[in-house]
Amino acid sequence: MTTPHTFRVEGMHCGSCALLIDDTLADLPGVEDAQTSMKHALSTVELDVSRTTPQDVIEAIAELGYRASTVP
Amino acid sequence: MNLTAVLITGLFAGGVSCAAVQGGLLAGLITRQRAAAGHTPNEARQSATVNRRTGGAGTDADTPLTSTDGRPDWRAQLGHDLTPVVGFLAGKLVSHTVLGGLLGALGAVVQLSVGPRTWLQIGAGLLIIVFGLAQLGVPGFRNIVIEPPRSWTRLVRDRARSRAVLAPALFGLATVLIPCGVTLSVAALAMTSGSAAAGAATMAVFVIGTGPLFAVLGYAIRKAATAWRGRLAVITGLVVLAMGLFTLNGGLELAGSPLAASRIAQTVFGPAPTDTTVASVVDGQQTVVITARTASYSPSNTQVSAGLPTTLVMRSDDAQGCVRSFLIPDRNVEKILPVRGETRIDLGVLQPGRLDYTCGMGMYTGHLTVVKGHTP
Repeated sequence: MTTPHTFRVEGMHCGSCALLIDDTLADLPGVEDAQTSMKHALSTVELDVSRTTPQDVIEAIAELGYRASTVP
Repeated sequence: MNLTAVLITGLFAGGVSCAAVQGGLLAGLITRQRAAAGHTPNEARQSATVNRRTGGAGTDADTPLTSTDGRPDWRAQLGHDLTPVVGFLAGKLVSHTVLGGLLGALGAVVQLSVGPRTWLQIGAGLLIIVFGLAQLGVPGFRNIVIEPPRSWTRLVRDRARSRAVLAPALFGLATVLIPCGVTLSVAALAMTSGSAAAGAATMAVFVIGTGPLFAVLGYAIRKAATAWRGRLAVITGLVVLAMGLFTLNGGLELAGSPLAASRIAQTVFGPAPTDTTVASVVDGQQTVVITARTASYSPSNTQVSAGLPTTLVMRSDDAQGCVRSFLIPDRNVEKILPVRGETRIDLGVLQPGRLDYTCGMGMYTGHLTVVKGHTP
């Protein structure tokens, strides 16, 4: 069962950054879909929290070199 | 901008910008592709995540290639590892060269004469500056972000997640749909280049310039690039801003604006010393000889006499690049100079004052200082 989670992402400089984040998140277990927008600096992730937590997502984005935080 | 400057832009700004980001995407693609050859899809996903974080696409998913005596064959391994990178860059080169050719052809239609060319160049310069300021997050410009349509992004993403043999090349081909600020700026330069061939060459040289750093950063030591990604917005913003100012200045030089860099330099540092040795008068006919080399017109300030019929002789001495496109905006003169040889331009009877000339991109300039009663 997945639920949508939104993250604020800072440090993107081009469309490829958004794609890299989507591509990386799609490889995490429990991530059904990820849509990142450079323009809005947001990433919306369909997430099964029993397999990957929002904190795991933040860490995966941070390991790519961007700053991420949850949007309440 | 001449091709050497474009190559250097590609080598540093484009290379860093592309390698750090598209290199990560390519690494994921290669790892998934190779892992899928010997693992379940889930294992392929996992190893792509690990590899993207640690660097070395495919290194843990692959068994090292060995030679006939059982030892690791580093040449075969290198070829095996670099093939997808070369495929990716080849695909990228093809699509960007075609785009550059189209933009150059489009620009050539618009800029048939000096006036529209000047405005196109000023417009391109201002546009690139806006990109740069937006990238830097300057208030008022922050929300101006060129984001490709969702369908384009999805197309590129599908290519990046494909496991087909040609996937790296097709992914490279598709990256033309998701340009970064530096690439957009070079595309604007391609548009002002004056012809389809020059536009194609501009984009091709830029992509070739990104190659070496891409191969090293995007593939071998990607982990180092990770730390840079978040800072790239500032670095690329500054590079884009500099390119915008450079392009805008070219337009201002073409327009003969007092705000052009060469005019400001003359105001601040005083005019270039006047040369009186290259003008001669024979039987009431004045001849001025200016030498065009790859990065200059020499002399840059020549004193000539008013009131005499004058011929300007442009002597090309291994002239390469945009210096060959020679303009005298006030006289609507536009000539393509040969690499070597002479081009004679009839200037008529000169009036006292100043007559500026420039290359087609506004990068190299000079002028004749026309004075009364002076006989060289």
